[in-house]
Formats: sequence, C-alpha cells, structure tokens
Amino acid sequence: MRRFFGKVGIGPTFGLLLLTAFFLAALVGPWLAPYGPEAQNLGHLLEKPSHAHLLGTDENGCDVLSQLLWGARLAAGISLTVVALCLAIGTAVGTIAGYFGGWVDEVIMRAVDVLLAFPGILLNLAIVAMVPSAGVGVFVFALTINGWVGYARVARGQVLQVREREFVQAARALGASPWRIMLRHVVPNTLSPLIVQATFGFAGVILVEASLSFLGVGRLHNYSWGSLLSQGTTYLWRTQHLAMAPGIAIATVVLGCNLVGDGLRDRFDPRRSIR
Amino acid sequence: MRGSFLRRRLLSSLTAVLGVSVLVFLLVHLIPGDPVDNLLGERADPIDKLEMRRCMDLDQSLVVQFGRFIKNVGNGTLGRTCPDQRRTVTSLIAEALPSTIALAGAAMFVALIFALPLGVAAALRPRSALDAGATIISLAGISMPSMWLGPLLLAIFYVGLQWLPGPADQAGLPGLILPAFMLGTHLMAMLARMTRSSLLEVLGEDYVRTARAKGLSSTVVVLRHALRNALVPVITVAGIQFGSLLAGAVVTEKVFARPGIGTLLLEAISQRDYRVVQGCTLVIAVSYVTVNLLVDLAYGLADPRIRVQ
Repeated sequence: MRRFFGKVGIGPTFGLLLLTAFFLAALVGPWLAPYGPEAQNLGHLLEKPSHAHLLGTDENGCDVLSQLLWGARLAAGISLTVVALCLAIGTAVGTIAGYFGGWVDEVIMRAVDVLLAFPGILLNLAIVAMVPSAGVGVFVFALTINGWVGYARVARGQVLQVREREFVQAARALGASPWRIMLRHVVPNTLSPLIVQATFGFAGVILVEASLSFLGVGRLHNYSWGSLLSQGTTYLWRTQHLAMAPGIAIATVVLGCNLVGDGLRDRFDPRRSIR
Repeated sequence: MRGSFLRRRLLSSLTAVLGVSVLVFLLVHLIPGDPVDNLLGERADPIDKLEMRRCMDLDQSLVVQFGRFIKNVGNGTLGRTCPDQRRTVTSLIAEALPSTIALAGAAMFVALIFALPLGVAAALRPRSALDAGATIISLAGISMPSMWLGPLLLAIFYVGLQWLPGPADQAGLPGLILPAFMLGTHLMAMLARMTRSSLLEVLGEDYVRTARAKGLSSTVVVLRHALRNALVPVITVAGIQFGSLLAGAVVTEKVFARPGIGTLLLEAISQRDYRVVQGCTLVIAVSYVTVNLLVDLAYGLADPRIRVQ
C-alpha cells in the first residue's frame, strides 16, 4: 500500500477514489436509489435528512438522495460523451493541421481562434438558449461545438514535435501514406498530454453543464445537478441541506478530476514532479 | 521585426472578430428548424410570426440579412430590439456594461490580491505545511462551483453574520465584495497555482544563484530578481482571463440579482429577443479578443523574445 502511495502520490490516489465513487454512483446508483427521481411524497415537503430520506426531501417531497444518484448518471453520460467527442474531433483536426502545415494549418487554426474568442460558457449558453426545450442532445452539441478546440491545439503542438522524429521520417521513407503515418505513428505518440487535457476537460464539462442547468436554460431533467443546486439555493434561507448535497457532489467530481489530472501530468512530464 | 509582429497580431485579431461576427449572425440559422418557430413556438399566432420574421429580417435572403447585420454592427447600433422595436441593442448594452465591468474588475482585484501572496509563500517554502495549506486552498477554489460558492457566501456573511449587504442592497463598494469573491475565487486558485510553479522554476535559474552568490539578501533576490520574471506569465494569464470574467458574470449576476450584461442576456433569452442575445454575445466576444490583443502586445513590449517568434 505504502509503495502504491509512493508511486502514485496521495493526491492522485484520493482523486481516483473520488472519481471511482462518482462513476459507481452513475452506474449502479439509480438501481440503489430508494425512490424514483421524480416520485413525490406530498406529506414530506422540505424535510431534513432522516432515516426514510437520508439526504432529506425537496419542496415537492422528492427524495434528494435518489435525485442525486440519477443526476450522477445524467452528468456522467453527458460529460463522457462530450469529452469523447471533443477528444476525437480535436485530435483528428489538430493532427491534420500539424502534420500537413501550410494553408491547411492556417485555415484550421483561424477557425480555432474564432471559437476560442467566445469566453467561458457564452457560446454554449447562446446555443442551448436558442433551441426550444433543449434536451441532452442539444447540451452535448452545444458543449462539443467549442470544446474540441483545446484538444486540437494540444494535438497540433504535439504533432509539430513528433513529425520531425526519426521513426516518422523512416515510415515516410518506406512509402507509408500520410494517413497511415498519422494514425499508426503520430497519434499514438501524442496521446499522453491529450489524456491529461481530457481529465481536466471532464471537470470543465461537469461545471459548464451544471452552470447551464443552474441558469435555467434548456430542459434537462429536474434532477440534473445544476437544477438541484438552483432549487437548493432558492430555499437556502429556510433549509441548507438542499443546496449542500448537489454542491458537494459537483465539487467532489471536479476535485477528483483535478487531482487525477495533476497526477497524470506529473507522471507524463517528470520535470514537473520534482517541483 | 516589431512592425511585423504588430501587423500579424492585429490581422489575426481582426480575422477572429470577423469570424465571431459571422458565427453570431449564423447562430439563429445554425440550429435545426425554423428560427421563428424556435423562438415563438410552432403554435404561435401566424401574424406574430410574420411580424417577428419581418423584424428579424428573416423574410429577406441570407445575403441581405448579413448585409443588414454588418450595417447594424458598423453603425454601432447593433439593430433594434425584436419584437418590440423601441430601443437599440447598443443602448441597452451601454446601460448594463459598466456594472459588469466593475464586477469583473473587482473579481480580478480579489483574485490577484490573494493569489500572489499565496503562490509566493508556497514557492518559498515548498513541501512545508504552508505549501500544503496553499495547495488545499487552491484546489478547493478550483473545485468549488461558483454557483454554489455565491449562495454559501450569502448565507454566511449576509444572513448569518450580517456583515455584508445582500442582493437587495448592491450599491457602493460593500455590495461588490461578495459578488467579487464569487466570481474571482476560481481565477484566484488558478493564479496561485501558476505563481507557485512559475516562481519555483525561476528560483532554480542561474541568475538567481548568481544573485545569491554575490551576497544579496534573500528578500532582494526574491523581490528584485525572481518575482519580476516569475510574474510575467501570471499577469498575462490574468489579463487573458478578464474576458472570461465578463462571461462568468452571467452566473454571478443571476445569484446576486445584479444588473449587468449577464442579466440582460438572460432576460433577452427568456423573452426570446434574439437581437439582444446576438448583441451581448458579440460585445463580450469582441472585448475578449481586444483584451487578448492588448495583453499580447504588452507582453511583446516587455519580452523581446516574443516578438521574434
């Protein structure tokens, strides 16, 4: 055990534990949930945590723990999809830009600049707000549309270094096609920083999705963590438990991603771990 | 060399602004379905729909629409509000913007005033209890969702301790404190981490060792030689993040019910006033590009190596 801690570090191990708990909750949580996410119990409104309702109930008498577990599945589903899409698109686009260079690179990087000019949640908010009753699909689309650019920039930077290496030149000299070189030789050697980026990106998507639901745009389920938080803060003056549960849940996942991301970054870039 | 750096940087900012304008214009067309149906709902009154179509120029060809959009951007009005055409979008934004800029400025102040001492202290005593404490504070700041932090701050300092004014009384400096902390905490945590790693790197440089070797006191070495160089990237990132603060203000203004461009944007969204949504998005994005340009130019002036690259 001590050996494991020494190798991985206590921070990343803790982060890994938090993320494992989150994905377990997302995977099996809805089966373990004591009530349905929208099952109302009008005799028990805004109740504090008790044996019947471990995290209390909301203003409609819904069980907070059940909502939180269903919300975990929703958050995990959306975030994993968005990160996978962004990683795939960003790696492909960035690799093409970096490998071919010239006008291809110029055009792609200008497009990236345009998407980067929308700070924070601005573009996501505008898109989700424009679609009537935007559901999960629109959220994924809105978060992916500018989410890939960060990955593209990292991938391009990596490819610029890797494409001059001997093994790539060797493959080129053997007559391999550009696509084969990119897929078989370049991309596998650029993945480490992209995985680090994806870990931090996962936290980002969780936060943005929660912010959008918090602002009340779109029509995700009432049990999305952002909606739960928004509902909880409305009743903060009367009872605190409603805002604490989703707030701690979001913070836990984001903290887990940051710890694991830091650990991976130190591992892939040994110079950093000395500091 | 300096002229070409300036020209290249200006050109890329101009393309970004142009691209942003096109994208903001296309926003209504990019989304599947009829824009007016999207805005008013499919079962809306046909007369209302017709009026909306005319007001938003959707009865014209795409080229004419784009021409009018560019004209509205060019003459600085950003068009009139739709469906009710009483005001120009610019006048609405001009009313809202000062409050948002004040909020973003205060958040930046909060971020810097806490991040720098925290990062420096952690870097000067790496792997000490102080460093661990600073790391925990930054990790908490990065992980806490701001829309949770804001209400918690209100619950503690307004409802509980009654030290600071709440959403009802936002005038003056005291009313700015809690919103600034809500908006600035994430940036503070980010900058503290950056300051720490940047200073640690600089402290290992040869010129710092030389400065120590010639017998300068620790304070002089850190303040005069190390910190000046370590802070350049930190200040650059802080500058670039100013634009993100403008966008992040949407959530803060909602929590504190503050007037500002975020509140304007959310109101426009709920009233389906598309022109105002376009206008707010454009103004925030263009300010972001402009701030980035200024930061880059200042960075280029401070560090000649940047200009040559």
